[in-house]
Amino acid sequence: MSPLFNQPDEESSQIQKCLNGDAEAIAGLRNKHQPALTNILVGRGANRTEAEDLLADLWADCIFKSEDRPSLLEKFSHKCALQSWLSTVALRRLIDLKRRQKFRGEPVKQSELDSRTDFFERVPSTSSPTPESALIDMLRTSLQGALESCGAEALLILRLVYLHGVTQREVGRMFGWHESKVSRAGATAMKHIQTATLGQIQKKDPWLQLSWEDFLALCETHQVGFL
Amino acid sequence: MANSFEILTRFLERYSDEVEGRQLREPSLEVTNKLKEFAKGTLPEDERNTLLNLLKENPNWIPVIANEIKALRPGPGPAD
Repeated sequence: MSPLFNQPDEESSQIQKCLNGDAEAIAGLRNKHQPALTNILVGRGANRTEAEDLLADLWADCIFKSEDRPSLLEKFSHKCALQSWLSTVALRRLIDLKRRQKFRGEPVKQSELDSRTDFFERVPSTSSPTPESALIDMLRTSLQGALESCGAEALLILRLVYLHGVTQREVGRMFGWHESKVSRAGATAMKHIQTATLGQIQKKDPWLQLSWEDFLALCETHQVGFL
Repeated sequence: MANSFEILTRFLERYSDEVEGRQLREPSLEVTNKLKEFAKGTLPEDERNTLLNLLKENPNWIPVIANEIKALRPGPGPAD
């Protein structure tokens, strides 16, 4: 068997060693993935210091500390390559960091202070959105906005084909179209959703250079809950 | 592996506040009949736009169309 085919087994074995607290295995993992993860974070809008700090925390979290604080790697479910998973975790942390920086930098509006006379009413509420919910909210609102701006006909085609297993030929018969027209309409709609979603994110968080693959990976990891 | 549109839809299903906030309506008999006509390709074009907008608001009605289309598929031929 070629070394390529052995790779997942080697990776699993290395992860297991990390989970057992093998410092050498963790160092090996860091040496292998650090350069690519740094490039990914810098490419998405982090400066080099932020990328290095985030990754230092990430590797520290991969070390088993106690029963209360298990290794981050325990959450890895092997549903994708380790590097994809690590890059999604790192990216999520970058978004959390940038959003915290943004909120820390925004002063409370005077009108908000004036409308509240009691000092305790000015104390921040404990129900402020968590970084996790802020990230989900960003993904959700940008995607919902994009879908709302999509034509009703195109949305129906996408739903029938990709969610309900109807063929493009069958959809074409329904509309009186050739299936190639259905295919083009579906592809155009997907492109519109992609452009509109990323456009909304850019508008809200201009620092964030998210690719469509990043967006999908973030949605997918939240969907199956393996972060 | 899930397709991109499916990933997006499942994500929204899980996190959309509309899931909790909006009660899912069943289509009326009249709308159901129009959905079936649409599936067969016999719905007049001038009626399509109204139905398409209703479907955008009520994506839970789309299975009516999908099921009707699948019911129109030719069955397996007679066994030799």
